[in-house]
Order: sequence, then C-alpha cells, then structure tokens
Amino acid sequence: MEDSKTVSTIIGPLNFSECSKTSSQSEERDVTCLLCSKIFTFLHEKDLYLAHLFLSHKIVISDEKIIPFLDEYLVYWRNKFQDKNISDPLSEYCTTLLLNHLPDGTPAVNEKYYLLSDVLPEDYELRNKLHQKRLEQVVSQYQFERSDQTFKRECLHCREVITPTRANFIEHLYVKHFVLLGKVENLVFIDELIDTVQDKLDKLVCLFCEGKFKDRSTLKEHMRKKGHKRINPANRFYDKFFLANYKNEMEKPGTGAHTAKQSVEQMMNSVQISSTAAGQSNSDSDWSDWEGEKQNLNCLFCSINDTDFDIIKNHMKTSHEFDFDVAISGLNFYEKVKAVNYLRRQMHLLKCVSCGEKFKTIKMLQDHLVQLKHYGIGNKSDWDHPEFFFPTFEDDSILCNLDDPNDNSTDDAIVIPEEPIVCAATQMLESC
Amino acid sequence: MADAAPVRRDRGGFGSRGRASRGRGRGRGRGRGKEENKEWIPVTKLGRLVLGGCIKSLEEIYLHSLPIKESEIIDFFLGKLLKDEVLKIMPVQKQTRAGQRTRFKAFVAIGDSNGHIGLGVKCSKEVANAIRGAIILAKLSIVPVRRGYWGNKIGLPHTVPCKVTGKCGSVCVRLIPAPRGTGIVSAPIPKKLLMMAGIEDCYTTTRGSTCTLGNFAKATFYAIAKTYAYLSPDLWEERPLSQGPYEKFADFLAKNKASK
Repeated sequence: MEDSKTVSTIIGPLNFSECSKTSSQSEERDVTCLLCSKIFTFLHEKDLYLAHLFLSHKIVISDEKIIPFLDEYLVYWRNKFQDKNISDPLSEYCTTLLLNHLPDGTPAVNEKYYLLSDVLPEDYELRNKLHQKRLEQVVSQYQFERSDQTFKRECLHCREVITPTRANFIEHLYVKHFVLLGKVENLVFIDELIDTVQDKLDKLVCLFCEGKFKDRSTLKEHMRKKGHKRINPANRFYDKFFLANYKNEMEKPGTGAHTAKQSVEQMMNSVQISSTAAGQSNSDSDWSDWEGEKQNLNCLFCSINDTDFDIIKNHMKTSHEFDFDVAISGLNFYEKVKAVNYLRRQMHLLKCVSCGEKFKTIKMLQDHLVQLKHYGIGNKSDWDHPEFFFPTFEDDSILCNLDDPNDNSTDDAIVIPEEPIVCAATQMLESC
Repeated sequence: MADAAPVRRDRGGFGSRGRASRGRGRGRGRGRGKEENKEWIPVTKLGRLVLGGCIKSLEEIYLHSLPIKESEIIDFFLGKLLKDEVLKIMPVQKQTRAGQRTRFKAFVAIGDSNGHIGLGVKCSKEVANAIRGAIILAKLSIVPVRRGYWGNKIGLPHTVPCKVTGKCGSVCVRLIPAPRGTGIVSAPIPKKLLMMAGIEDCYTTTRGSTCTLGNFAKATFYAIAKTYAYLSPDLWEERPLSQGPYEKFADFLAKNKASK
C-alpha cells in the first residue's frame, strides 16, 4: 500500500442514489382518443380532445372539470374501451341519452349520446382514486412549503428581501402592508399565488375588484380606501390556493365551505362519528397506515440493487461466488462494519480486494475477480483499522443489516458512566 | 352564508405558527390579531407545582415517573429549545353514508437535539389542527435520552451507552454505539429521530417491514427511550429513596387550592 503515503486516501462523501426531483405537474403527455386513434397533447389540447369526443363520437364525460389527472382517467378508459372481449363498450360503460339533434346543431330524431359518469361504480372508484392521489400530492406540497428554509423573495411593496420561509413572507405582507392573502396554514402553492398577485400589481389591476388604474399610487390609494388589499372570496380562480377546497373537490364546483348541503353532510358525518367513537380513536393514533418505500441495498461487487437483503445475498452467491454469511461469520459487529467499508472502498478505488492490484475500469476489475476468484473480504490486517468505522457510502444500507436485533447477547456492552446531565433550560433559569 | 368565507379568511393572527410571530408588533394600530401569550392556568397538581417554581427541572419529574398531562409543563422547561418536524401529512378516508369523509393525519417528531425526544400523531379535518394536535401529543410523549461514550471518555457524550432494541409492529430497530465521527448510519426516518434526540454517532440494524414508516419511527423511539431503562453497573449503587414532589410540596398545593 505504498501509494497511501503519497496520495491522500480520504475520499469525499459518497452516495448511491442521486435524488432527482421530477415535477410531474407540467409534463405534457400524448393521449389517444377513446375510440379512434387520434392523438392529442395534454394539457393544452384538452378542450380539443373533449370537443372531438362530442362531435365525432357523441360521448360526454360528466363533471370533467373536477376530475384531477384527466389524462390518466382517459388512458384508463381507453384501455377498457379497446378491450376486445367487450362487444359494445359504449352501452356497457356509458348511460345512453336520446336527443333530437346532431352534435353540430342540425335537428335530427332520436340521436344516441353517451354519458360517462360516476353512476357506474367502476368510474366512481376511479374518480375517488384520482382525487385521493391529488390530495396526497397537494398535501406533500403543503408539507414542503411549510418546512422549506430556502425561500427568498423581495416583498411586493417594499424593497425588503424576506427569508427563510414562505410563512414569513405572508406574515410580512400582512403586518407591514396590510395585504391579507390568507392564513398561512390554509395556503398551498404559495409561489404561484405570490406570482399572480405580483403580476396583477405590475399590470396596475386591483386584486379584489379587477379594476384597471392609471398608475401605481392610484392603485394603492384605491386598494387602501376600499379595503381591497385582500383576495376576493367570490373569485373562484383563487380556490386552488386554499387547502380546504381540495378536500371538497368531489362535489360540484360552486359549493363553498358552508353550504346547506354540506352542513347536512357534516351532521350526518357527526352522527357517524358519535356511533363509532371507539373506532375513530383507534385510527387516530394508528401508526401503521403510513406506508413508504423500502431502502435499496446495493451489491458489494456490482451495481445490482434490490430492497431485500436475502435476494442480494443470493445474487452474490450465484453471480460472484461470494457467500456473505460465511465470509463474515465469526466476526463481531464492529469487525463486520470495518470489513464492509473496506470492501466498498476498494471497489470504489477499482482495486482488487484480495491482492490490491489496481485497474482502469470496473469491467477489468470484475474480470480479474472472476478469473482469479479473488472475491472476498480481504485479510483482517487490511481492514482492521479505525478509519473503516466510518461508512464509505453515506447511504449504504448493508451496514444496517449486519447485526441481529433479536440477539440479546451483550458481548461488547460496556457502559462508561457520564457526568449527570444538567438540563440546559434549568441552567438558564438558575443563572438569571 | 356567502359572508362566512370572507370572515374566516379576514381574521388576523397567524395561528399555529405563533412561535415565529410572537413578539412582533401588531401593525400601526389597525391589525386585529388574537392574543398569543395566553396565561397558563394549570389544571393538574404537577402543573401547579411547575408554575409555582417548586420543580427545578424536567429531570425531577422523570426521576419520580410522574405522568405529564399538560404540554405547557414541557414548554415551561424546554420552550424555545424544542424543534418540531412534521414527518408526514397524509389524507385518510372513511366511507360514510354521505360519501367519503376525508381527514388529515399528521405525524410529528419533536426534540431539542440535546437529550429529549417525542413523537405524536393526530388526525383531524383540517391540516393545521392535525399538526397542532400532533405537536401537543409529541410534547406529552417526550422522554429523556441517555448518551454515552464509545471507548475513551473525552468531551461530551455522543452515542448510545449500549446496544438497545425497540420493537413496534413487525419492525425491530437496534441502536449500536459508534465511535465519534461516524455519524448516524441508518435509513432517513431513524436518522431524523436520532439527530433530534441529540445522538451524534450510532449504527443501526433493522428487521421487519420497514416500509411501514409509522412503525419504523415508533420502534426507533422505543429504542431511544430504552437507553434510560437499561440498568448499567454504574447505576447499581444504592441510593436512599427520596420524597416525591407531591409530598414535599404538599403545603404549597394545599395553599394554592384554598386560594381558588
């Protein structure tokens, strides 16, 4: 290991996964018509698609305005409609209406029109699923905006730059300039909201009444005098910025948060709540319904990865003739950690684990390992150094699978007594 | 009914984000904010003792294993040091006669990065209420964290004192002491909790279906709480039984009760 003297052996922080944030919101997608093979690009050709459906096939989708992810809805139904097993999908899935005119308006007799609506249970389920997906997307955006500390923006009225959270910005607008966009805890897509408001101010249009003004000072006077420094609740364009509206998405648009119908629903729901009080408290504190993704484990010698450690171990046995359990048997936990870190580092530096020979590419290294059967964890003297306590890869999940949680033998459990802990808060209390 | 919506949005004050806006001026006399710093009137004996200053630190309460039922007690001792983190907000649905009922469930972890950690979950019709409720429940569940050394005793404790295990559902989490500088070697969820507890270096081992992140977090929490449950040899020394605060301050409690 002569090169360790001349070359620094410290390698910078390594990660297996590079997080790539893909915003699926504005992705343009090609969707084919339900019955023929005409293609439209969503989202901006959505109206053309629906018009085509009506004019050419006499199909209408009920309440299409409140269906989230309309492209996915249509793709699902296209698959169903194109299914060869069903003879007439239109009468199977849609309700038929008889009207006395053709789509373009000319009078006719008993023309058949087809309505695809949530009367069909399958359609209702689909809409529910899409609505749920939308809700989850909005809520995760809300969560992000709530905790994000990297927000930075210049105020709309003064020159001050507000940072680090969006909550500070909204609050600043209210406290310093009396512009009330809403309670921060109810808002979502705040960036877009601020952009819209800024756009309106730049165009010299009043936020509330949408009136046009000659210059900025007149606009400001008008907004101050009339109390128009807030969002018009009747203006439905701003509905998408308020979290409460996404919950009520399944109902027809136009019902506000407190209509008569909804208050009846709330009463019915509250009757349900009182009758299932025990059930509700159970689901309230239930920790097990939060599902996420399992961590990925990477093979020690190649780039194969999987979420199950047994599969990776089998892969190493078959593809690399390396039995992980046999190789690390007899070592205590800390030795296992050091061995894995050493192996990772050698593979990263393209050096053979057993003989230390350096190669130019990963392919050459793997050929060498196969030919000379140098798969292994190397000699104890190679890896039994304190530098290998530190993980080579920061998100190396194999290190989280080395010990047996059910094994209670405390071979290296030596607790070194520490000084009695003094709470920092009481130190402050005592000092003042 | 159309007025109901604007009134709701017009009301000033910024609700649960009070920690940020507390202390700021309410504008040039026109702002109608609701009063943030409400006087705390304790309803439990422990609360009255805490407010009266009889109890000097949170550790005294832990020593006598007294249940904490008011989150203001925690605020009194830890207050600004506590940082909360919303782990997840998710919509949950229930089928009722009147269609689907959607509520929001918030999972919150709270800690001061110096020996205290708590976890809370709350479900509510509004997201803000769920977060607020979960923060209160997290404060009530705060436990002390014992930290120790790996090898030599230099500087401040930085790792778990011994191997501890926690189990919730099918998930089993084991925390193993690590040398200084290792950092936390684990999946993202336990990493957040261990950092908020003030543990700087730790190895972890997990078993079971770790995709149920709720159980994963709870199992890590139980493992961290176990650090003070483990009776290590240095604690074997016999100490005389001390009086609990209810006995010690019995006359203070009687005096306060009479004044009501």
